[in-house]
Amino acid sequence: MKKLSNTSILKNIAFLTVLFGGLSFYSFNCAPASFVVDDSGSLSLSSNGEIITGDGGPSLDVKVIAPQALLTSEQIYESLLNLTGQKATVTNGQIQEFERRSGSFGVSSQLDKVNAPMMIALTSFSGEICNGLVQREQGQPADQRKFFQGVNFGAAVAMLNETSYQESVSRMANSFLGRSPSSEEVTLFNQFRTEFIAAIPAANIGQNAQTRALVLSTCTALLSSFDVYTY
Amino acid sequence: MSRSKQVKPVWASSGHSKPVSRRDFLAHGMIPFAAAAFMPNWMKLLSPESAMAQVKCPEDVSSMIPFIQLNLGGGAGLAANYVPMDEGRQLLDSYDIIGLGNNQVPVTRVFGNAPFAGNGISNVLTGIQSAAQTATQNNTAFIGFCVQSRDDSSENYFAANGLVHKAGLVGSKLPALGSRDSNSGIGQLSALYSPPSPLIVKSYNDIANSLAYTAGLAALNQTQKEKLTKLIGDLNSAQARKLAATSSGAKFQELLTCVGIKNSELVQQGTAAVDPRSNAAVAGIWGLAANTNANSESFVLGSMAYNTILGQAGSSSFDKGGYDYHGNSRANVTNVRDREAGVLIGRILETARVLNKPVFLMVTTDGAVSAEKSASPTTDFNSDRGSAGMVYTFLYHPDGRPATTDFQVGHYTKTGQSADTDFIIGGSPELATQAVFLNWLKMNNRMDLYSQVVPNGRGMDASAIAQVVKVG
Repeated sequence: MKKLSNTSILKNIAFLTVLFGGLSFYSFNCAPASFVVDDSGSLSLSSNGEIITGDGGPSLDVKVIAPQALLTSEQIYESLLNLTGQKATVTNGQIQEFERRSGSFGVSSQLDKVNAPMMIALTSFSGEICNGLVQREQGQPADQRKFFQGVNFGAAVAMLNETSYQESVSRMANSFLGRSPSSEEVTLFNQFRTEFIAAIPAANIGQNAQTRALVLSTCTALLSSFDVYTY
Repeated sequence: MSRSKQVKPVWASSGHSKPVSRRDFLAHGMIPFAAAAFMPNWMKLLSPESAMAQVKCPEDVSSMIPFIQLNLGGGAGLAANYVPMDEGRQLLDSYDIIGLGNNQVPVTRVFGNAPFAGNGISNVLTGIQSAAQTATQNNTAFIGFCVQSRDDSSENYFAANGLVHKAGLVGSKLPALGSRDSNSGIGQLSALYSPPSPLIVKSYNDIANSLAYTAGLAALNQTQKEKLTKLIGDLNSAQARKLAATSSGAKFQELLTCVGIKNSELVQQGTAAVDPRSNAAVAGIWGLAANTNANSESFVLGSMAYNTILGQAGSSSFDKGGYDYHGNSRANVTNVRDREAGVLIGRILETARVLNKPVFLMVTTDGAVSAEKSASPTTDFNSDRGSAGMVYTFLYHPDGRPATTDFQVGHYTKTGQSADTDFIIGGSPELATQAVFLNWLKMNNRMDLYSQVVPNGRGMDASAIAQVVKVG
């Protein structure tokens, strides 16, 4: 019998770990959201000792059977701050915006609980998170920035070329989504950049603030996308 | 190796927290093979231009009658306002532990034929009559539901907003509205279904902000905001495409696409349409002015009622606390709070009248109260007593009072002064909520929806339905 080298053994162990880890993940990852406790038939006592029959038990809500779930309100707060590296420097503006919006996020992790105001709330909160991120990088020398190295915040938005813009999108995607942007996403962002600039009134086109606004909006869009608010 | 010289994991140097989720692990290359091995269908799901063109989003305006639930948290003495009757719709032998004295309680018939404690004893009624015009009262019917419930508990299955949503009550601009951070939006459990995450309204601004961007995005011009909203919708659709392999995942992808479309419309429309102050008559009912505190109860509930009755929001469910009030003076505390509840009920009905819309209003609580045995109909409440529970419903229609065949579902025991648990709903808040739901469906002329919404084994049979439906 061929004797396996230590390297081969380690490779096989790693392979099996990944294999069974993946299997257990896909079997049980979302278990808490999919399993419902059946409390039908339970009884309780009223204050004077009379028996009140329990109600029918489990909710009939249809669970979305997919390996994804929504981040809950607190998880959104933690996640967005962590992804942008602002956990330790959270601002009053960010806290206020979260408090203003938290009522829209809901308490359920079920995917089918998404609604329009929830998405507007997430976008608005993401906007304030990105506001802090852009502010931090704007104050740094270009070569020390993490996301916006090719952005000249002191120049008009027309000076931000497509290559530099795509580089920023790519850096944010790798950090926020854990992957490079897909070609479809790159196309969407490039189209957005073009339309965003076209929407600037002629009198304001030369304003430096429009460069910041484009970067802020791009960051906000990525931070409000499906792959960020689900897990 | 010293701790300081250990190699940092990738996630630590990337600014991320320690990976704990599927996406985290994928992001750090830990389960790519597993993903490919066990979910091979995902590999072919990234086909472009897929479901988007086939998406059919829900209609903008629901044809179902607006539904509002007012929940009086703590165990209000509803049976000491409406006078519960026995099985033959006669007075009980006595109401002395309910707090209405002996059987000499003066009864006044209102909202058609519903018995309330008269001579000013029912402060809920006094409140309603102070806030709703006679014309409004004349177009309002009442049905009381006799049901025991747990005292001081947020675990009674009295929340009906999931059921009415399931039956098709959706808002054109806003989701179902609630006032408490819970699945149902109030301090009650959802009967059978919870609604999509209710928008929790603790201030009018919560409604206004739900249609607009604030803080960092406020400086964008309107067109830029719309472009941003569209981009997010497109990104969501692209990223959620991977869910399309399963039927429920495909439905979610469709939902997400519709959310994106809806958001584009909402951001374009702005907030004026959801402001109750834009209607002078409604503003007058709720006492709203330009400088009204956005957190005030009248502004919050007025906004909720306004948007629900107009069909701009799904159902509204509003918690009003302060009803664990036994042990206090009836004259100085209990009556005052009952009157406050009555005023809110009256204002909701009045709002429907000025907007020329129907409304179905459900009033719930958790448990009830008992009084020291007394011949007086105004004795102080001294304890909890969930066995004397009630649910109220008020049905308003601008075309005239909705026809009803009875003013009560279930009954109180002749001598026990409690809801009879031998009747279908008497011991089950969930079935009582289903009974309310059935009457709402009947008011909508959509009884066919019951079997579609409530599956066999959890609902009522034809005989039971006939006993609990009182809308004529």
